[in-house]
Amino acid sequence: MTNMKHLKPLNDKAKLLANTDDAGRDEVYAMQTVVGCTSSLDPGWEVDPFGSVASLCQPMEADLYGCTDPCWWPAQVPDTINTYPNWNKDAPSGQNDWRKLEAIYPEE
Amino acid sequence: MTKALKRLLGVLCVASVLAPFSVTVAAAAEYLVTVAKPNRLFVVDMKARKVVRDHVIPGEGSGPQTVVPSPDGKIAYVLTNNWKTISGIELNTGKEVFRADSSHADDERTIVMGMTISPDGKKIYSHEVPAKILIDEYQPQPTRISIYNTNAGTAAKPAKILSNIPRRIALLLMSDDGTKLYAMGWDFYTMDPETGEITATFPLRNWNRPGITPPDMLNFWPMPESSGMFSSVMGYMRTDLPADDPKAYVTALLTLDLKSGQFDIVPINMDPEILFTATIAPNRRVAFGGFLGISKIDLLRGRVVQREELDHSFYQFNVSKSGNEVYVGGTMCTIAIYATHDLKKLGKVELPGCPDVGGGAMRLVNTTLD
Repeated sequence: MTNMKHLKPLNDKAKLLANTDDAGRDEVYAMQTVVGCTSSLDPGWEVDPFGSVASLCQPMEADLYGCTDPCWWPAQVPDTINTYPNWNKDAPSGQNDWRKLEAIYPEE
Repeated sequence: MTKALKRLLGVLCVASVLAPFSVTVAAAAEYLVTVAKPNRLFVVDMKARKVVRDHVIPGEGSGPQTVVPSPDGKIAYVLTNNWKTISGIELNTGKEVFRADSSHADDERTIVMGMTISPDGKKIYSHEVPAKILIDEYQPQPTRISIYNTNAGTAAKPAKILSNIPRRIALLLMSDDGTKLYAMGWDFYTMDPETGEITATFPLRNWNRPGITPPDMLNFWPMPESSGMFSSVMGYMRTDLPADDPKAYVTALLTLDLKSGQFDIVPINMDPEILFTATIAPNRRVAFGGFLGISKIDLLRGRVVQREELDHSFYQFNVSKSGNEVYVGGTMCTIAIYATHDLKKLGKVELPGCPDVGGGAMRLVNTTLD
């Protein structure tokens, strides 16, 4: 990609991308929040808008599903839009059922 | 026999004559409608502080979201199936009377955030974001607004599709007279509901107001039912102050009168604090909003006049149509009730089994239940 001035490719796929001619590539759209959580680039609310933590949700469990269902916190939870829609189906209460929330692994 | 006793006997006689012909008509009352994980729909009698209906939303899905009540308050159209399907549920019986999948083709994966209904209750407008999911890329397809007839049953297909619709639309609203379709995204669009033509744009992300940055907003909880006004919290920064000055952060309310079409922005003089939603009271002079606390906001003076701590974070603040009570919900399983005049906590309703509402909606309807 000719416009890539500030990023250095590190692996084979990145090098392939870097050497790809822009011509013939489709336009890239900034999409709405969710077409799958893996497309989100939103690390979550580690700090509040004021640079503090006082305005974060309290407790964390209160905000768990309000954030994960719309694909915020994508780095921490599975993609409930596409690949793991039932990840939390048996844990309807974040405060009571959090122990039931399991890690997920690639399917064979 | 006194005159008063004669009058009373007269009334009783007339009543006894008319009694065989009388028909019992239940008066409509105000109910709160909300959803919770994984697929539940609740109707709450707020006067009795009691959940009176506990319905299961059919089909897949682990977190219902938007709720759009029919204008007569009898049906709730719920966004379910992980943002992919609209299910219309009769509030009295729990029967599914409408269902529409937003993906219109087998290789399409579509999500919906914005949804609204025409004032006559005959059409659902659904802002749909389709994509084809390929091995190594999501291939975005043109966004659209599908219009479904509400009498189309449980395998509804679009009666009409509006194209050339902007991306990043978080919610749809309809004007009171049904002549304008509003879509809120990076900007606030006014559309012709028949054609999708954008007839006006109220700039948000693209505003150019001196001395302040573009606003930051998050809202997919339209709750205009008590006041006829849509309101959304926004935050922006003053560019004449350093970023570490708390006064640089400005919280404001964007308001839209669904009858007149008037947009306004009301800056609020308050300490830096996140408000998730703020809903305007029926008198239109005050609004109630918050997140970790509940704040009473004087819209005429643009300031918080009272604030109280909440038990935990909440997303949604709705105001009873009487204007006497604030209902606070979302996140966990409790709906807290506060008095509008002094923010005294009046009580709470816990949803059975304590399922999380998460980002699900909380709406008020006037209807009758058997």
